[in-house]
Amino acid sequence: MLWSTALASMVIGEWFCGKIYYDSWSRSQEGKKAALSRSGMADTFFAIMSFPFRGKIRAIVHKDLKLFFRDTSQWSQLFLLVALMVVYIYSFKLLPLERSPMPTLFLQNLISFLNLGMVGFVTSAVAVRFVFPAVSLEGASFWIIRSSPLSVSEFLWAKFWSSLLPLLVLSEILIVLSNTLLKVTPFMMTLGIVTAFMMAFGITSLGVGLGSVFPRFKYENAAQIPSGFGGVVYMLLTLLFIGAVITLEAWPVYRIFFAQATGKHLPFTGWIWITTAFTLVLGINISAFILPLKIGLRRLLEREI
Amino acid sequence: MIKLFNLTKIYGKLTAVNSINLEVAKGEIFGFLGPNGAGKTTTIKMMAGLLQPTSGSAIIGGYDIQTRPLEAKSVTGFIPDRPFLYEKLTAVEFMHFVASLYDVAGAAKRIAGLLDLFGLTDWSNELVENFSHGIKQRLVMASALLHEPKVLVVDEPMVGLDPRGARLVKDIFKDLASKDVTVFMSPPASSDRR
Repeated sequence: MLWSTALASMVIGEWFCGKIYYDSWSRSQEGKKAALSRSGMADTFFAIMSFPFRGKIRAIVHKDLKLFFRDTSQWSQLFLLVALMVVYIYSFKLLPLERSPMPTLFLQNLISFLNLGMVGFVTSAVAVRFVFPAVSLEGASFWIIRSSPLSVSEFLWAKFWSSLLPLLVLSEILIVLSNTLLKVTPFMMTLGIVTAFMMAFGITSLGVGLGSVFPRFKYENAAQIPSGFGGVVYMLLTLLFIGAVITLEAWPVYRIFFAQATGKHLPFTGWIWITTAFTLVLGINISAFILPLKIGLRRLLEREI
Repeated sequence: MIKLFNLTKIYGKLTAVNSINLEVAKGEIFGFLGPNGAGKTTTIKMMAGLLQPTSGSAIIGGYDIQTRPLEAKSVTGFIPDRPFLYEKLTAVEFMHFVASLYDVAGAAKRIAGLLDLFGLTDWSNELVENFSHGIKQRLVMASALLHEPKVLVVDEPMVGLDPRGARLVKDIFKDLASKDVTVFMSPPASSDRR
């Protein structure tokens, strides 16, 4: 049965492919139409997506959206990404927390905290593929931007905002859904939402900034861009950034959670340490937001094309 | 309209452009001639703000390209030797994009006029990736004129153009010069004598 089915499939396949191969090959050599991404519906979608922006920044965002959705090598990877996200979130539903020897409430919140780091890593993995190449994707056409009266900082801000919004939505969806499935305390939910929000700025800024420091304007496929030295540096720095934020938050979160669970008040010195730790977290996030963009701007201004 | 003072570009040990001084008046067509490797493209790129001079300065339309680059670029139309464009945009979308970068008012009408002038109307809704080199070159030229520049800086404009296209471009440059636009042009070395 197996052999006959395989043989029949081969014969049918050969007959069918033989019929359509030449026609299809010939049509693939003709002018490309990109009919779907040039439809009225697509235009409305692009207009809505670039609506929050104004002026020249809007023009860049609008152009980038069109180029992204008309290049199948770019957006086809989104399907894989969505599938991985669904598996990731669904895995929380299947966690056998009640069978653990540790108290369920403690375990739920511990996993929620570790999940915060995981969401950061997932977001940075998405960013290395879609945000880090944002500047490089201008390719050989970068002369159009550089010879126009658009400042390099406006250009970088356009890349930053258009990359930040999808990353922000992604990381918040991941954190809210996973925390909801884990049934965490309101404190952990708030902490997760706020931390993911802040980290999205740093992850995006690192992507756009390092993408400007290590641009790769000559490429055959957009997927090649993050595979170079710059992409590795980006991943290492992003992991370092997320690691620093999570490590600094770990102790104060444990203290607050423990105090809430046991009903004990935190001493004054405890609050001082907690405030110091959260201030450092804020400082790291602000640095990760500002410094990469500043360095990227300087390097891009120095770059000759 | 164009003033170059001791404009110099040095790459390591190689002096690509050695202290150029020149002045081009309003409405003049200036042919910038020289053999291959003479530094024509480097000079043009410095004038367009794509390269930083090692020393000296370039004043375009009254603005120093180094100290007031945005003002200088807003009065300049730049046409490079190789027309690299966004392949996944249509001609009309590309023109609208450029119009937004230069804050062109009443862009739709001007775009239609320029596409017609350069014989691109039939191509306006086609993706750039389907264009030949010559058609891309025409599109770049059309986009460079969108914001009605005072100075047009052109690097090897006739490369890839058919004789009809080349004639059209020459006529357009003459017409622009008669309207006080300064055209700074570097023809390819092989066509310097034409």
